[in-house]
Amino acid sequence: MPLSPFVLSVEVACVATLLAARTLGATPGRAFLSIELPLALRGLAAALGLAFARALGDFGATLMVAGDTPGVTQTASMAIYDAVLAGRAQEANVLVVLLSAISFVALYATNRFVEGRTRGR
Amino acid sequence: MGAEVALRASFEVTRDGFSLRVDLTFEPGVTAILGPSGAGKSTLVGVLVGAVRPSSGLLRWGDVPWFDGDAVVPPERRGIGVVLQSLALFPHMTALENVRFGLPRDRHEAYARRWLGRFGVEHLAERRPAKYSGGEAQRVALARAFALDRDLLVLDEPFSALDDVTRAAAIAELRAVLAERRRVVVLVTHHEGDVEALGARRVRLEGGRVLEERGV
Repeated sequence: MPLSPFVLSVEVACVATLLAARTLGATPGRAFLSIELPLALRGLAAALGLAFARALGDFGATLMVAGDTPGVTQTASMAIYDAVLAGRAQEANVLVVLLSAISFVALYATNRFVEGRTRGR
Repeated sequence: MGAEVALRASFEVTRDGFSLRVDLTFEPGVTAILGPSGAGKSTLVGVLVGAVRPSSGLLRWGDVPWFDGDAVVPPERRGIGVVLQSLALFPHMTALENVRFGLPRDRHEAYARRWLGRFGVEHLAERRPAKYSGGEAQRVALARAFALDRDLLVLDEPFSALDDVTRAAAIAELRAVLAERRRVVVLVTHHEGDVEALGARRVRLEGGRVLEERGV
């Protein structure tokens, strides 16, 4: 799922703009570096943002596959879960606030970057 | 030096259930390709610029084969000035960068600016395409193609988004460019007025076949 914006952005960049670049004399390599890659950066940023958000909130899959070892395989969500089970409400609250803040900043930064690159000068 | 060579196009393309078969010679001057939607105009442009591979036949620029039934010369080695119907301006580049993209490094910025100026869009030099109107984008695309100074131009509906005044100015600019040097121009258009204004030969396509071929 997180990769779909990246794939989509590469596909969109591919068709007419790449042909235009080729008709302007660009080799496939130059067309990739000068056109395809810069245009795909938005999608790449969106994909990275989504992947980061997905990883940050992951719980079930990590718990089942990697386990819940503090400092090794424990994710933030699992730390909150453990804190709640152990009755450490204050620690859980701090982690929730921290996780929410990081998510907000990550999404805001991704959106700013994506919008900034679509806007003309 | 002028383009006294001609573009010979005698090929068939079959794809997605559609077949385009043409046997045309584009001589120096303007040849207008007319026809309804689905006639095969875009496929013809695709073959000429190197985006579509013919199923059979030949495509030759002067003595140089671009397609001979086997090998295909890629777009970057054909040396064509192209305006695609979608314009395909590079959205992450300014108008100046768009025009300079295809130019040799020793071509000065002033040269690219002059071409933007000839199409009345020099004020967009530092702006990116998201800020252009449809007509402005078309004029930047024309400047980008013309700045290459090629002997063969393929223009796919290059004036469609222009109002009457800018359309007349763009056609005048094309005439001026053609007056400087003989070139082969393939112009896809829906406007009979363009054909007359440019004194163009006309080729009418319909259903993938040439229905009419008429000189000036």
